[in-house]
Parts: sequence; structure tokens; C-alpha cells
Amino acid sequence: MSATQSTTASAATAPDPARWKGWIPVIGLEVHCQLRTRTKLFCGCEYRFGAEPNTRTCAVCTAQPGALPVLNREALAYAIRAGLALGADIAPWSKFDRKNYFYCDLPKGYQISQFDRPFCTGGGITLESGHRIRLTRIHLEEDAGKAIHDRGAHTLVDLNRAGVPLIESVTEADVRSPEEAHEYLERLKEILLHAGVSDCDMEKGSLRVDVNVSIHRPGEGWRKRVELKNLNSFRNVAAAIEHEIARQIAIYESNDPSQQVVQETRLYDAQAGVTRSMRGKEEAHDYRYFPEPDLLPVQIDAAFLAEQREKLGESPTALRERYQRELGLSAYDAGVLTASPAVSRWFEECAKLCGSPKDAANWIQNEILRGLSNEQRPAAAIAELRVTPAGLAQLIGLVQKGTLNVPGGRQVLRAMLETGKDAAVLVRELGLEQVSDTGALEQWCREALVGKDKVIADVKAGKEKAIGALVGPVMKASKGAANPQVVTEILLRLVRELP
Amino acid sequence: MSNPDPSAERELVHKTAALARLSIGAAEEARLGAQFARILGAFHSLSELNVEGVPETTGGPRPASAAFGRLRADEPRASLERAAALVNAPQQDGEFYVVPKTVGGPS
Amino acid sequence: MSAAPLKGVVEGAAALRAGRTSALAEAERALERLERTRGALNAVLAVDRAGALERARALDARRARGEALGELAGVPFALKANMCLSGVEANCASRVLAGYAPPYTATFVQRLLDAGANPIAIANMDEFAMGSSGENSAYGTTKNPWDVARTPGGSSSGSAALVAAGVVPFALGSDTGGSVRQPAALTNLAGYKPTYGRISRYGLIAFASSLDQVSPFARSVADVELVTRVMSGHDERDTTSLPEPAFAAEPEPAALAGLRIGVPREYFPATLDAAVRARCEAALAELERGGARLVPVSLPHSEHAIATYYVVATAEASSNLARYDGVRYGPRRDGDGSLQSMYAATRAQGFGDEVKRRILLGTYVLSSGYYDAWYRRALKVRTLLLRDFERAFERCDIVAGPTSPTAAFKLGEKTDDPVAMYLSDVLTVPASLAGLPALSLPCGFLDAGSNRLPVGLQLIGPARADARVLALGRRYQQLSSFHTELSPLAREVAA
Repeated sequence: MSATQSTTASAATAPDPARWKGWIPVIGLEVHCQLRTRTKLFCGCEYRFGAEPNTRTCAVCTAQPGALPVLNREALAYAIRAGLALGADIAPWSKFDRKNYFYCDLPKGYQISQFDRPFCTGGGITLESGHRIRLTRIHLEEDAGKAIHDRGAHTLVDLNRAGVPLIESVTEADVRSPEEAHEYLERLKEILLHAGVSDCDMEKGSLRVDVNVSIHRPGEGWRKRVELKNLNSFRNVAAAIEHEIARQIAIYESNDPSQQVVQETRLYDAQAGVTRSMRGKEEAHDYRYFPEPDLLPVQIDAAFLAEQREKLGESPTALRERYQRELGLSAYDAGVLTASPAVSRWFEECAKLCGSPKDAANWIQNEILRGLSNEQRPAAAIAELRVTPAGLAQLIGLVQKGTLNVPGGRQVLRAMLETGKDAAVLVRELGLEQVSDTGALEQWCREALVGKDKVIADVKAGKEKAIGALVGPVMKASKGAANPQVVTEILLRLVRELP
Repeated sequence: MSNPDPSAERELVHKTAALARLSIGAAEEARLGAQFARILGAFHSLSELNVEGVPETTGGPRPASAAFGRLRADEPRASLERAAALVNAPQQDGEFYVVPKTVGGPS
Repeated sequence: MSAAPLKGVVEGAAALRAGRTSALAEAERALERLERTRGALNAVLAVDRAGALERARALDARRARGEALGELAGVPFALKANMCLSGVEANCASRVLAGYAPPYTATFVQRLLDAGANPIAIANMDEFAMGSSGENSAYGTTKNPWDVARTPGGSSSGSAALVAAGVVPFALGSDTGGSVRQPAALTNLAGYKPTYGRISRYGLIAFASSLDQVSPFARSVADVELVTRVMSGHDERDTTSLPEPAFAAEPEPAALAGLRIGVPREYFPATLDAAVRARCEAALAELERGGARLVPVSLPHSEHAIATYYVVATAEASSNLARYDGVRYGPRRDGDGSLQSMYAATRAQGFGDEVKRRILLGTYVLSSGYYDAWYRRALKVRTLLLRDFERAFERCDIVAGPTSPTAAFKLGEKTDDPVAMYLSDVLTVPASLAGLPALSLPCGFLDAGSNRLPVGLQLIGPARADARVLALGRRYQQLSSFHTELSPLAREVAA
């Protein structure tokens, strides 16, 4: 975390000082994102989440003596793209350093990371309020393996994840509340998803958040900061910050000298809603960073940079503006449809094919995304649907032409999602083509009028709305295939024709 | 940098050994402490050189034309069979490397 | 005395291609010589008899079928115990890696295999290549075939001893600060450390990554050159390997006319052994008679080379050796039952004294509060040493001087004094720090009691001028015959 305090003038949006009894929280976020390369950062092992333990390793990532790292070009490309998407400065050349520490999930006894020349510096994200969270840096490093502690008397080590590329983005201590942390993370995730560099999936551990929290009184210097780990959702990040602020306030206000805020790492226990100290005694880290002699410095030349800029595409902010400006969507709809690049790509294709962005937006939001909302990963799931954007566009076309009514359309879409069949085929199979054969409709309408003297009288007395009570039975008789508007017209005509 | 006080040398060796994960007994500490001081003393001439503004040579020396690393295409290579990866491990269960129970993460 | 009974590399491969010998006969002969000298030398940690014989038979079968054979077809050789040949124990002469058989083969070993060379044994060494005498092996000290009471030099002690005893025509060592050149000088061999990056380090178990180079020993410069050439060329698995393919040999400069040989005054200090000085000066005079011009040059920062080297090398080593933690390979010690104490116990029991000293030193110079004063400063002085050479090479084509300040010293003579031991590298570490190609070759003998002990001359070239250094070495061996003299043990073996 940087020692420079945020001076961005956004006092108007700052949290109410009364909220924390006059204490001011100072919050910084460190986010690790796995890059979605096929192979690891320094070797050709293909990582897959959930693979059988220790089946995705080689001489390099298990630190066999004598093995050497070779940098994956795509990982570098993604790191640079992440930097560009976040408005960072890209260093013309960069290098790797070794971070030395001992742990069973770290095969070499050091992590290849970056110390004083990260690929990206600066950049940031401006929140809805206008307050900007500045980034200190983004660097590229390798992930550690996994130590499993909850199976039996020993710790088990799986090195499949060892060497997977990560970018670590570190903010300045510009975050002022749990809500700002939450919003920052949402925005960061959205940006990285759109840049196509990471799945940002907390469930799978491809996005991990550590938080630094301290509090202080107005006008005084910063106090001891506490690092929070084990935060497995954005909601938990916000909750953990809230709890940690409260814990620190309680300690400072207790006036009990036996209680101290110490610089330490605490784990958040989401169930108990508390943070717990990670170890009894905090050892001072001495990572002994030094330049990695097994890797040469990396040059980011103009051509490489241009290539990454080109591959980056539109930012979510630009997309949202364009959806409102060019496609006439509401700010809300534009927001929903740009939450992930998979959804926005899906939407754009469908909108183009059906010719009506608004219809496409409605169908996708109301039918597709609502259906997916139970799923954990809408971004991935929309790509896995059995309905394609072209399929939905065809269905929308049928509704636009009046071949199908809206409830019928919903029914067809459900069947499409289940079977993967074409809308046109399903309309026939389900017998949902709207009946425009007035002969059949007239017959059902006549039957519906039998014995409905009260309704007939009301309509004749000018209360045309009363006819609505008879539309339902006709629709039922047609098994939903009748066009309700046509049915209403026929019923009214028949009543008028009655003596 | 080198210290004439033998207890300070021992303390230095003690701290450094802990950082390097070498368990060293008291007798060894004293012996290594003395050697350590002698070695650092012999190297002391380094501190007398004027190195103001001299760039650092990190990594092996390279000709300018090959100063930057080559990159690897993101193409998979075969991983080791699990049995081949685990074969040299002092303790393993056929799936995992097995180590003493540890909680609390790296330090 | 002539070397006739012992075939060299070039000669042996030619004999095999011509059908005058078989790969099997060469392998069996080498294995037999190995067994005969084993007790006297303790130069071998493991023998791959089955593998060697199998490879030899396969090669003979290929020859019988009329298939093309590689440049090193059927030539037996030894690997240093820090080199990876899949399935063959590479324990770095350390208890911490006892029983470790790598699951992969080093690129340079593969290139030798592809050229038909046949590895028969794994040679003893100073533990993790840390040492200058071979006395730091966890598996006993290697003896010098010229005088078994003396050191063969180190750290590539076993590799040097095996070639000097006539067991194999060549062997691989690794040279980090002189670990091939110094033993070559002490055992009357050619030992060649190529330009840093000339040979891929993939599969060489690291001591100090920015300095380590695979380096061969043989009796003649032509032989080390052939072996070097086969191993050289870019390797996609080592980004620090030079980008160009294998280098081509240069013809030796027959007349030496116009060749400027720089003689740095710092390499002939007052403390230099008088006999070593005399032999080296005689060799330079011989080259001068051959037409070369001797140019006095200065490498003013040489006095700081030892300190710089030991700071840089131990810093890298402290990190490179962190992986020996008892999790993935090597024997484990339990400690008090916790993970961290398991590490500390495994490492304390597994590493020898010198390795521990260097891990401590390297950890110290990188640690918070000392980094700038030691490590960063050493990186800057390394630049000054590089510049020394750049300046010298403006005035000369090759720098020459002694390889080692003394001939082979007695075993046990320096074991209690790490600083004295470090100083034996004083003439070899500058070229290592500068990444330059450097050759040690025999230039005479001195008398030590009843024994004659070899003296080595060192030739250092500008970066990438490997072919030039080797060509001059070949030329010197046309003018001299010291390299054809065999150690007492080799004479016995060849008889």
C-alpha cells in the first residue's frame, strides 16, 4: 500500500463521518486474477480447475532441480491488456524478481513475481460517485499450488495450480467504505471480463481479494493496518471490512491497554461474521527480493503494445454509452447487458439479427438472464445455452409478425432452451401458431357467448371492457393459439349483431 | 558490516539461519559466526569502492542484441504422469505430496 | 611418453565410424577402467552400466545397418552429479538429494546423446558445486590422479579425475567461478568454460544461475571444442541461452601473426607461486615466438572479484537451494512435527558445512538492511569488472594468464579456512562474472617431491569469441606437448 494519502477532492461523496463515530477508515485492495491462458506462466502445463491432483505438473512447475522458466507470451499480452483497460502506464521494459519464502505450496522456495519494475503502473477506476480509486501497480506473477488442511492428520499438497499466471493489482488506500470496496470490485471484474483476460470467478479462485484496513481520527496520521484474507465473495469483502472497522474502533475506544490493534493478517469467518488472527505471533517478512537470473528482462515494443490495444475492444463504460446513445436502451438495460462481455456480445448479435435492440434487450433480460440467474456464472452460462442469438432473433421475428403471441413465445423459448430446436419447428410441434382462421374462432366465440346474458347486456350498455371475461375461455378453447386481440374484436362484433 | 562482538555474530547467524530454514545448534552457531565475520571482513574492500552511478549487472552478462528474453507461445506440452511427479517425494499418497499438518499459511 | 594408448574424442569417434572399434568395446573398456581406478580416486558416485551397454549395442546396430552416426558416436563420457539424465541419480554430492533421479533429461545431455556419445557414470563433485578441492562432497573426497594425496581441484573434481586417469576421453563439469578451469589446470587437462549462455543450462542443477556454465574436460583443446560445439546453440527451454545456433570452428591462426595477447599485470601478483609464474611466462614466450604480440593490459578491479563473486553467487544460491525442503524429493527429517521445523531439520541435516555457510552468506546479503551494502553493491562492481575486460579488449584479442595461483595442493590443507579456499578462485572468477569464454590448458609441470604437478594457462576471450579462444588453444597445442603427458594413474590404466 502506498503511503500517500488520497487527496482526490470528493468530499461531497465521502461517507458520513458519524457512521463510524468520527473514525475514518483507510482501505486498500489487492486483487489477484488468474489469467485465462491455456498454459502456465513459465511452462507448457495446461491448467484446468478441478483436474485430478498433481496431474498438471512438469519439471518446471514442480521445481525439479535444473528446470528453468520460459515466459508465456499470451500471459504477458493479457497482463498488458489488463493494464490498458485500467488506464495504466505500460513500462517499455520490465523484469521479474524472486520473492523468497518457504511454504509447502511454493515448490521453488520462491515465487517469480515483480518487485521494482512491474509491467503496469498507475491507472484506476472512477466510481459512480465520481470518486476515483487509483491503482498503484499491476504486476505479473505465478500462482502457488494448493495446500489442503482438512483431510486427515496431514496437509496434502496439489501443485496443479503452481505456476498459473496471475496479475496482482494493488490500489492506493483510496477506498473509504465497504460499499466503495464492493463497487470497485464489481467494476474491476467487469473491466477485466471485457478485456478478456480473466474469468474473474471467485468460486474457482480465479479472482482473490485481500484487503488492508486501518482507521484514524481526522487530522492524525495513519494507524496500524490489518490485512484481511479468506474473502470469497464481494459481499464478504464488504462485510469483513465493516466488521474490521468496528473491531478496530472498539479496541481504540476501549482504553484497555491489553487490547491493541497490531499489524497482522486476519482471516474472515463469513459464518460467524468475525475476523480472526491468522497466527499467534506475526513474524516480520523478509522476502529478499532480487532480480530473477533465470529470465531476461522483457521488452514491450510498440508493435506488441499496438497489438494488445487492438485486441482490447470496447470498455464496459463505452459500451453502455453506446447502447444508450445508438440503440436507445435505458441506462438500466445498458448496465445489465454489459455486465459481462459474453452477454453483451450475445445481445449485440441478437439485436442486429432481429432488427430491434429494444425487443432483444427485453427478451434477453426477462427470459434469458432471469432463467440464468440461478446459475452462478451467467457470463459463461450464456455461451453454453442451447439457444443462439440467431435462434432468439428468429423467435422475436415470429412474435413481431404476429405468428406467435408473447405467452406463446415464452413457451417456445423454454422449449428451445430445453431441446435446442428451431423456434419455427417448435411453433409447429406445439401447435402454437396463432389461429387467424375466423371460422374456427367465430365458432369458439359463439360457444363462449352461450348463457352469458349479463356480459352481453353490459357490453350493449356500453361497458365494452366486460367482454374481457369471455376472451379467456376462447383462448382456452384454442389452446392458447388464438390471437387475443382478434378474439376480442370477433366477440364484440357478435354481441353487436345480437338482437 | 562485520562485527567484532562474537555474541552479535552469533545473533546474526541465528537470525539468518532462521530465515534460511537451517536449524543450527549453539556450537555450530558460534563456529559459523566466527567464520562469517572472517568472510565478511575479507570482503570488506567492496565497501571502499566508489560505485556512484554505476549500473547493476543483473543476471548473466548479455550482448546488447540479445538483452531481452524470448517468449514462448501459449501451447500446451505434455505434463508428467502423476506417478513420475511423485516418485521422488519422501511422503506421498499416490495423489498428493504429504507434509506435516500446517495451518496458518506461509511465513 | 605419448598418449597413443588412450583415444581422444575426435580420434575415438573417427575410429568407430571407420569400424576400427565398436561402441560396445569402448563402453566396456571405459567401465573396466572405471572399476580399476575407483578405489584410488573416489571419482564416481553412480555408474549407469546397463544404460551404457544398451546404448552402445543400439549404436553398433545402427552402424551395422549403415545408418549415419553422430559426431560423438560411441564416445564414453561422464556427467557431473549436478546434471540431469532421466532416471539416473543426480544428487549433487549432497545428502539433501540422496536418491534423487530426475524425471527429465538436460538439453545439453540430450544433444550429446543425439550425437552418439555414451554417458557411463556420474562423477563426484563438491556438494552443489561449492568448493575448489572436491573435499566438500557428502560422499568422500576425490583424489588427483597425478598425486592421490592432492586435490584434483573443484568443484568438478570427479569429472577431472576421470579424464586425467584415462577412464573416459571427456567428461562434463560445470564452471561457476572456475570449477572446470581450475581442476583442468591441476590435472593437466583442457577445461573450457564457454561464453555465458553458449550452452543451455536446462537440466544443470543450479548453483548460481547468472554464472553457471556447462563446461567440458578433455585431454586436448580440439576435443573440448568438439564437445562444446555439439552442446552449444539456443535452447527454447533456457531463455538465457544465446539466441544463435551452434558456433562454427575457426582454423587455428597458423602464424599467430598480429594476434595481440593481453597480459594483465593483476594476474601475475607477487603472491603467485614462482613455478606457476615461470611456466605461464614460458608459454606466453612460446606464443610470442610463434608470432603473437604480448601486450601489457590492466584489469584494475580484479582485487574485488572474489568478494563480488561470493556475494553474487551465494545470493543466487541461497534462493536456488530453497527448493530442497523435503517435500518433493530427497530424504526428510521431521523436526518437532511442524512444517517449518521439518524444513529446518531436513536442510540442516541434508546440507554440508560449506553449503550452509554459503546459504547463510547469500541469505544475509539479500536480507533487509544489508541488500544495498552487499548485494546491490556487488552487482555494480560486477559492471566495473565487465568494463575492465571491455577496455582490455580494445587493446588485445585475447587475455592470458595463469588459471590457478598454485598447482594442486594437499588434501586437507585449506579445509579449515574458507577464506583461503575462496582465494584459490582469484584468477578464474573475473571471467565468470563477465560471462566470458575462458580456456585452461596444460602449460608445463612443476616438481613437488617425487611427483610432477601440472600447471595451467588460461586464455580469456571477448564475449562470444569462443571460436577464437579455442583456435588459439589448438595452436598452442601444436607448439607444445604438455597435454600429451599422462598422469601416473592413466599410464597404468592404458598399459
